[in-house]
Amino acid sequence: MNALLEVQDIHTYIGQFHILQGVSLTVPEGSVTALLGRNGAGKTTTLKSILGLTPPRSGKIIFTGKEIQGLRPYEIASLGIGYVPEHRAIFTNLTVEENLRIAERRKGELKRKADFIFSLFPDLKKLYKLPAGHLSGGQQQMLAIARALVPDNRLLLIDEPSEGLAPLLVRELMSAIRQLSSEVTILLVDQNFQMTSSLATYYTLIDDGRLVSSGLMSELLQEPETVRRYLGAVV
Amino acid sequence: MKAYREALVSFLIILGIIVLVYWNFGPSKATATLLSGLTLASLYFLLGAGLSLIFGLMDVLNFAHGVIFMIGAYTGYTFFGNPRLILNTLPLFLALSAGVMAGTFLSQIFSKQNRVLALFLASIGLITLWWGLKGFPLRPLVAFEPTTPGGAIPTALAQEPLARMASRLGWMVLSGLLLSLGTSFWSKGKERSIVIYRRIFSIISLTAVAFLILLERNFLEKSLLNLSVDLRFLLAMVAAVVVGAILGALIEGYFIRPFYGRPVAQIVLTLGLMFAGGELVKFIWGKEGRAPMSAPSLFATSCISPNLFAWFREHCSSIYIVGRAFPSYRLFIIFIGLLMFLIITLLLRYTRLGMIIRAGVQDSEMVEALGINVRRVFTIVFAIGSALAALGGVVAAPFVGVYPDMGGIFQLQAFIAVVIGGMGNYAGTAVGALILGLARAFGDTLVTTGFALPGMAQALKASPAIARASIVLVMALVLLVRPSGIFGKKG
Repeated sequence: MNALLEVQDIHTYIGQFHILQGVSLTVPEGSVTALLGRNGAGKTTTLKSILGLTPPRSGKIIFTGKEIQGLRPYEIASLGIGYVPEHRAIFTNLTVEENLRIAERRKGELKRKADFIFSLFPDLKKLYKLPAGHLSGGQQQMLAIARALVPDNRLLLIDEPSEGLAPLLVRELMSAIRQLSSEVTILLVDQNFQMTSSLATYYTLIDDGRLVSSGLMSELLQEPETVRRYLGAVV
Repeated sequence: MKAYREALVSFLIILGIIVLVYWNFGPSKATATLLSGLTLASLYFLLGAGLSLIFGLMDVLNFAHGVIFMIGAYTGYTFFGNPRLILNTLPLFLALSAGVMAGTFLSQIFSKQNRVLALFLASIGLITLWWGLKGFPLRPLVAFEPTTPGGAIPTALAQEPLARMASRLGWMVLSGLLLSLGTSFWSKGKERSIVIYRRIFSIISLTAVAFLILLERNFLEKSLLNLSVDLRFLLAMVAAVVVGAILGALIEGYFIRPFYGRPVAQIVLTLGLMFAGGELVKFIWGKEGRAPMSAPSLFATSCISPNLFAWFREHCSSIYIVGRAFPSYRLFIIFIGLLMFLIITLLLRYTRLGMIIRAGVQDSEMVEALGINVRRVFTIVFAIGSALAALGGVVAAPFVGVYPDMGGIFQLQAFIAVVIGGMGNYAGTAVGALILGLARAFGDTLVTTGFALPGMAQALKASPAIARASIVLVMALVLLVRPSGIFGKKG
C-alpha cells in the first residue's frame, strides 16, 4: 500500500479555537478514502489544512513523499491536488466554460480533458456558454467536480458532494465518482454514510478534532456499534 | 429582463438628466453642459475604477487612492516642465532595483529565518539609502520651472557632478541589496524558481543602463529638451503611470498585505497613508498649488476649429460644438476616460487575468485553491488601479492645475461614484461616474442660468451651494431607492 498523502498528527487553530487536536490519516494511492465524523468533527478543517487554507500549527503533511505543510495554498494545489469544496464555490458570474478554463494550470489542458469531462457529466456540454449562476444545484456540483478534473491532479479532496441534492442526483453523482476513482485518488467527506461506505475502500474516523480509528471500510461495516455511536447511522 | 434592470435604471436616470437639460437650456448650452459633465465623469471614473477593483477583489477601502492621483498629477506636471529630471532620477531607481534583485538572488543561498540579522541588515540598508541620497537636490529639480523645447542646455542646477552621481548609484545598489536581504531574512526563506542566467543578466543590464544614462547624460539631455511639447506630454503621462503603478504595488506588498481580513486596521492604515502621502507631496513640491499646466500643443493653438475634423488639421484649443466653443483638451480627457473604460472592460472580459479577477471578486480563496497565486493578482490589480489614478491625475493637471488638496477632493467624488454604482462593481463605477459628472455639471449650470421644470412660469435660480450639493443629493436619491447602489448586490 503506497501512501499518496499522509497526514501526521496535525493541530489546527481557527482564531483562538483549537479545532484539530491531532488528526492523522493516510490516503493510499489509487483508492477512495472516506473521512468520517459527525457535524463539527473537523472534517472540512482537515481538508482545508491539507490544502493550506487553514494551515496547521504543528504536525506534518506529506504528499508524494514531500512535506507540504507551510506552503501557500496555490503551491500545494499546483502539486496536483484538486479541491471540491463544501457548497461548491462555483464562480456564478463566470460561464461554465470559464469556470473550467480558470482551473487550467497549463494552456490546452481543458481541450485535452474536455471529452473525458463531458463523458462523465454530459449535462455540462449543453450548458457550456451559460453563466454558472443559472445552473441547478446538481449541475453546479457536477461543475465543481469537473473543475477539479481540468488540471492533472493526482488527488481530489471532495467535501459534501451530496449535500442538498435529490436522491436521484446523488445516485448519478455516485456513479460519476466511482468512474473517477479508477483515474484519480479521492479523499471523500460526506454526511451520507450509505454513499461513502459503498464508494470508499478505506476510512478514517475523527471526532471532536481527534482521530478515532482508521482502516478498511469493510472492517468498519463489521462494527455497527462504532458507526452508530460516532455517525448516528445504521449499517 | 431582471438582468437588464440595473442597466435600464441607470439609462433612465441619465436620460432624465439629459432631457431636463435640453428642455431648459436649449441644444447649444445643454451640449456644453453635457460635455463638461463627461469631462468630470471621465476623471471620476479614472480614479473610481481602481477604488472599485481594489474593493471588489480585496475588500480594501483604499483611502490612499487620492494621494496616488495627486502624485500622478504632480509627477506629470514636473516631468512635463522639466523632462531632464528623468536623467537625475531614473538611474537611481534602476540601481536600487538592481540591488534588490541581487539581494533576492543571494537570499536563495542562505534561506533561513533570522530576525535579528534581518533588522540589522535592513537598518544598515536604510542608512546606506540615506547616505546615498544625502544632499540630492530634489527640491530645486522638481521646482516648476518650465523649460521650452530646444531651450537651455545643462545648468549646474540640473546635473550634479558625474563622480558624485556615480557614487550615489553605487550606494543605491548596495542599499537595495541590504534591504532585500533584510526582508528575506525576516520571513522564512523559500525556494523560488529563478532562472539564474536570466537573473544575472537583468541585474547587470539594469546597472549598465543606469551608468549608461549617467555617461550619456549631456546628449540625452539635449535630445530630451528638444522633444516637442506633445512628446513631452506623453513622457509625463508615462512617468506618472509608471510611478503610480510602482507606488500601488509597493503599498499593497508592504502595507496592505499583512492586514487582509482586518477591515478596521486597513482603514486606519490607508487613512494614515493618505495623510502621510499628502504631507510628502507638500514636503517635495511645497504647500502652494500651481495653475493648470499648459496643454500639449495638439490642444494649444489659439483658434477655434469649426468642427472635430477641422481640429485634426488645425489643433485649435477650442472646437465649435452645436454653436459653442468647447476646449479641445477637455475632449481629450473624455477620450482618455472612454479609452481606459474600453481597455479595462476588454481586459476583464477576454483575458485570463480578467477572468481571475472576476472570479476573485466572488471568492478569492477558491481561486487560490485552484493553484493560482492570488496575492500576485492582488498586487497586479493594485498596480493597475493606481496607474489609472495617476493617469487621471496627469490628464487633470492641464484642466484643474495641481494643489495639495486635490487628492482628497477628487477621491471623495470618486468614492461617491463607486457607492452610487455599487461597491466593487466595475461597470457600476463607470455609470456612477457618469451620473455624478453630469449632475455636477448640471448643478453648475443651474447656478448660472436657472432652471424651470415643465409647467413652471419662472425659472428657479439656485445658489452656488446647490452646485456642490447636487452630487450628494444624487447619491442620497440613488441610495434611497437602492441602498447598495445601482449595480450593487443585495446584502
